Amino acid sequence: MRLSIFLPLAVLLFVAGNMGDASATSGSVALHAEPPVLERTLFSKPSHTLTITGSCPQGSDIVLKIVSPNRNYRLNKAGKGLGFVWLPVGHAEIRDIPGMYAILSSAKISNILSPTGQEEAGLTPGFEEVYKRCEVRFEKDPPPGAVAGLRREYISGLIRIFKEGGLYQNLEGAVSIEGHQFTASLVHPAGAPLGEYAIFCYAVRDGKASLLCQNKFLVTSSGLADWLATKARTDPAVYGVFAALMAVAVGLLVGVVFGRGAGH
Amino acid sequence: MNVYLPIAHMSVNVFFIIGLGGLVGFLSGLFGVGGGFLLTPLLILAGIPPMVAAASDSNQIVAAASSGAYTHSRMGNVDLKMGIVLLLGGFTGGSIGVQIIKVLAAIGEVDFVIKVVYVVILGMIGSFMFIESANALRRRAPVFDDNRSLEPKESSVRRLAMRLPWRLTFHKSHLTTSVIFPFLLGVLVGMLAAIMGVGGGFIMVPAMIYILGMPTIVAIGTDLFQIVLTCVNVTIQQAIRNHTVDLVLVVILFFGSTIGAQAGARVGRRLRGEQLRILLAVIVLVVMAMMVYNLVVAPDNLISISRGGGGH
Repeated sequence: MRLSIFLPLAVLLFVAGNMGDASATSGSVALHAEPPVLERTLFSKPSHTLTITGSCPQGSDIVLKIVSPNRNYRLNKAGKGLGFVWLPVGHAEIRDIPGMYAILSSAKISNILSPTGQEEAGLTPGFEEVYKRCEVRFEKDPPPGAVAGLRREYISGLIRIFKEGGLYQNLEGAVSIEGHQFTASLVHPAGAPLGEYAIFCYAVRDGKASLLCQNKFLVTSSGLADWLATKARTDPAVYGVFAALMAVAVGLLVGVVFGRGAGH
Repeated sequence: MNVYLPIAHMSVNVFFIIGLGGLVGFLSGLFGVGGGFLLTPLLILAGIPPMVAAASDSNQIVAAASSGAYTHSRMGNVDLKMGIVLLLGGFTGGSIGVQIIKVLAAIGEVDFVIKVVYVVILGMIGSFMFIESANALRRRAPVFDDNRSLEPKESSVRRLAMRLPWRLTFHKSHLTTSVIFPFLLGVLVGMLAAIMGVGGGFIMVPAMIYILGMPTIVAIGTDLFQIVLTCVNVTIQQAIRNHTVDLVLVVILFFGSTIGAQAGARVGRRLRGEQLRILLAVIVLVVMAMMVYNLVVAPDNLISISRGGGGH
């Protein structure tokens, strides 16, 4: 009798519990970025800190991928010339590469995902997804056998520059989980591109990663920094004349105040 | 305290940039020479993209030279006729230089060329100053600073310039010469202003004194006058063609250099001319050596972002 009552109840509770998890992975979980808009002004710090929070299924690890808008970069490759000087010996343009790319995880990715699983989800610590996504155009076509190697060399060189500038990050253990909630902090450097950033949140369990939810945050510039950058781009003649006249005015003012030149 | 440079697209410590401007301004005031040839390489070494460093330095020079030109014009030290001839050359050279930068940026060679031009020019100027000052110290007799009292020998270029067509008399400079040579001098300095972000006084003033035969004080005043307008032209051209003038950087640099120049001028009065020049020669050669080191030592990363087209 007791068994006939408790067994259906236990089954019901188990199903309800799993239903809760299913709804989380189907996209109804919350993912917040705070602040939702990062404003870059004249007096911005070298970096902003963005806090990403959300809910996650019990017992899962969390991997966050933050991707900026794509940009194009013209690159030089240095080589030895004249026997002793390092000068540009090759040029290429990398198109459609994210200017910022970060992977933050609650555990070491190689411990929770197999290499195949990492590649399928685009969560490789070495940013392999970026290598696949972007396009490389060489100024002079290299020999067919050298294309793949050169392509990788240019992309890895640019990624290295980005990593040094804090633009490409791979932070294992940066996501902390408490119960059903996770929190992570992303350092967003001032040199990162403006625009709309995507945050992808993956739950990893039993060696499999599934996209739990995604969100966006915005990086904009405002105030004098924005006005100057816009004016320099859209109205360069006015900007140039303004810069020159301002310098003359300041110089004359200093000349009058100090009564002598400040050198040249 | 940090400031975001909207054209260089980087955040810098404002006190560091003021310090850099102040240091160069101090040296400028101490030695009585332009600081442009030191400021641009120091900005490059501090991580500012070379194109932005050169263009912004040109704009900063407009402000610095304006104050000097104002003072000299009040003292009657500006040969306006000569200044206009130099200026025509400066405008031509400046426009050519900006185009050269644009072409070099398009083919990704601008950073390398700016560095090489700096190494060559700093090497020549530094070596010449060092040898000249060392000789002066040995003789215990000033040579360069006091050339107001010395009559420079008539050079072969000066004799040639006097035989060329389109001769004009420059009353303030007490000379009659063809306009061709000062025009070409203006072209050279205009090109250097665009490529290196310098005023060019370190070439123009000795050339005006030793080759054209102008009185030193008039050469300095006229040089400052033409620098203002040549660098105004370069600033506008750089803004239009290369979008590389960072006004925020300019304002911070000028703030530092103005204070530094006043302090330098006060300290400079206590030192002897040849001691100052040998010290300046050493500084110039050290900056050159740092740039040579950058060129000959294998870079950590063979790939670099071309400053003509990064991140667009």
